[in-house]
Amino acid sequence: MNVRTWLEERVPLSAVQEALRHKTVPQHRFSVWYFFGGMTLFFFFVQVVTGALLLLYYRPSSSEAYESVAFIMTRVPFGWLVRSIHSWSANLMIAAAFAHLFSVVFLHAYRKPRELTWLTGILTFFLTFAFGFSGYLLPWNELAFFATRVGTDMAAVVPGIGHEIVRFMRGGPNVTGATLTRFFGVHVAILPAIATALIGLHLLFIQHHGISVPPSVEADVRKTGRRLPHMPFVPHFALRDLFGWTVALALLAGLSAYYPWELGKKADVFASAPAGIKPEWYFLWMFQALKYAPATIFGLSGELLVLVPVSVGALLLVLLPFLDPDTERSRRIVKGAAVLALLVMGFFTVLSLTAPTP
Amino acid sequence: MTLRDQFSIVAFTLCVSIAGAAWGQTAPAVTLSPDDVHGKAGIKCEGCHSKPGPNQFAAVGPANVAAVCAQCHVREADFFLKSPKKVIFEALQMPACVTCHTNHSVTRPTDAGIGFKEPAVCATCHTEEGKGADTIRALSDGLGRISGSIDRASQLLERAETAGMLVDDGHAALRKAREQQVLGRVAIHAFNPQPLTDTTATAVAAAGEAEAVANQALGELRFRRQGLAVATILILGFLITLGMKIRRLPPIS
Repeated sequence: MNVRTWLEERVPLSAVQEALRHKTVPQHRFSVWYFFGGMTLFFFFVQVVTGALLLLYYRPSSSEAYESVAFIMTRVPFGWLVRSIHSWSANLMIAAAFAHLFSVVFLHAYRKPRELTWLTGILTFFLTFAFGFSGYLLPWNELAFFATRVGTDMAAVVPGIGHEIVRFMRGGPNVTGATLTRFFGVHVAILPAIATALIGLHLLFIQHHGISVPPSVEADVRKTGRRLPHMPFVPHFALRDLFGWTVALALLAGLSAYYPWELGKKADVFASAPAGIKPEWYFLWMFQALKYAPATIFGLSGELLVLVPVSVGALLLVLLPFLDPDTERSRRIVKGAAVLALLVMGFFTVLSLTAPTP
Repeated sequence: MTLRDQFSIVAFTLCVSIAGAAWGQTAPAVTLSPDDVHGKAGIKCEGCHSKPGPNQFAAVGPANVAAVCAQCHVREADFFLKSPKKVIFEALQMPACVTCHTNHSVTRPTDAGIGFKEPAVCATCHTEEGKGADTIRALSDGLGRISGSIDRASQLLERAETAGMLVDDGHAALRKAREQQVLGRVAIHAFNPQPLTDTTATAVAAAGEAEAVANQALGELRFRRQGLAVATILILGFLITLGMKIRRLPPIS
């Protein structure tokens, strides 16, 4: 009995092979957007591998975290590369997730029967931000410390339970070593467990429903009466995916070698925030918008003026497939809202980037 | 000169005049130069003129200058008091420290103060061929070696750091070299090359250590970039192969 036969008796290999043989991907003018989902997944894999390597040396306490990262970057062979790739890949993963999300919105790929594919996807998207936020504190440097202080402070504006949320996030009233340990646990155990489950479900739903065809392409097909060409998943799409992943790998290596991720100064809990401190690029728009919020409004925190619309927007985004009746008009509204959201985020990001540093 | 400096000088002059008037005598109208390091540090007349009694603000005599300066500059005074220069200054009735540093316009001394060319203070009494020239030359060379090695290491560390390398060990070594540089500048008050020679050796070794760390970091950086170039070529080769493979796939139906 050879290995294949042995496996065949225990694992449905032929069924998987058959499914892959018959799996196809629609080929049309927007097909390029299909690659961003795979690209996000690729960066997630990179994060898992590099994160596991960093775990071998990282120590999650306020007295050792910074030193352990410095040790990784200076003493561990290729430690600098692993840490830089982890940091760059996190940023590129968020960028790829952004592109994937907006392509799904613009191409209306969330429509029935893909509501659950959308739900698992949008929750994973929010998780990437949670990954970014929790991982940012781990080097325990000045920037990370103050970004976490400002970021966790935002939760305080929630009426009634805001301060309790802040206390829960920080493991106390202030950002301390307890916060670091808590963020570490969330970053390396809780979030990966949830993300793996969600990504697994997301891929399962995609496999089950196949890849969505945009309504405009469907309309063209109906008008012309021609069949929409489909490319086989294996090898046509898979090889193209591999091409994109390899380009991403080259980009990661280049960024890590030429722009190694900085370690910064060790966090000092008694120091005041350095002038001109800013969060990561994906939080810049909200950071800048909060700057324009008044201190108070009707006795409530002025930050609610920003945080309430953002939270409502996020909720609408989660519920999008259930709110969109999938008519010509509703699609136009969704597209308009997505463009508006992109413009608002882009506008505040540019404002923040061009703001003079005091 | 800032408003604060001007205010300090006026206050200082008034202090001298009022103190003098109070004791029924005319105080000399002495003002500190705006560049005087003691004035900038907020040291008032009493800092040096601390003799109790009606003549508190009287001039400090040449024989007492070193003792007055030694209230703060202990290590410099220690070297000077054991130096051959002390004997010569005393014989010539020269006011010790004030001879080279002045009294009310003491500027921050630099390594260029030792030598035979402007702004070297040694040139006031010494020539390149005269007595003591060898000592001056040795002191100047020692200080030059220290600052040269520190500058070189500092530039290399900055280059490595700008390129994104961590060179904390180098900075620690450079700090040690700078501490030795301070000790070396103190040691010149022995007017004897030996103490400075010892300090110079330690300082140059520490700066060399910093330089080695920087060079190692820059070497590592070159290795990384060469490695990246090789990896990029391999990846590019793989991409070309993959592209050709994709082109050769059967057409999409």
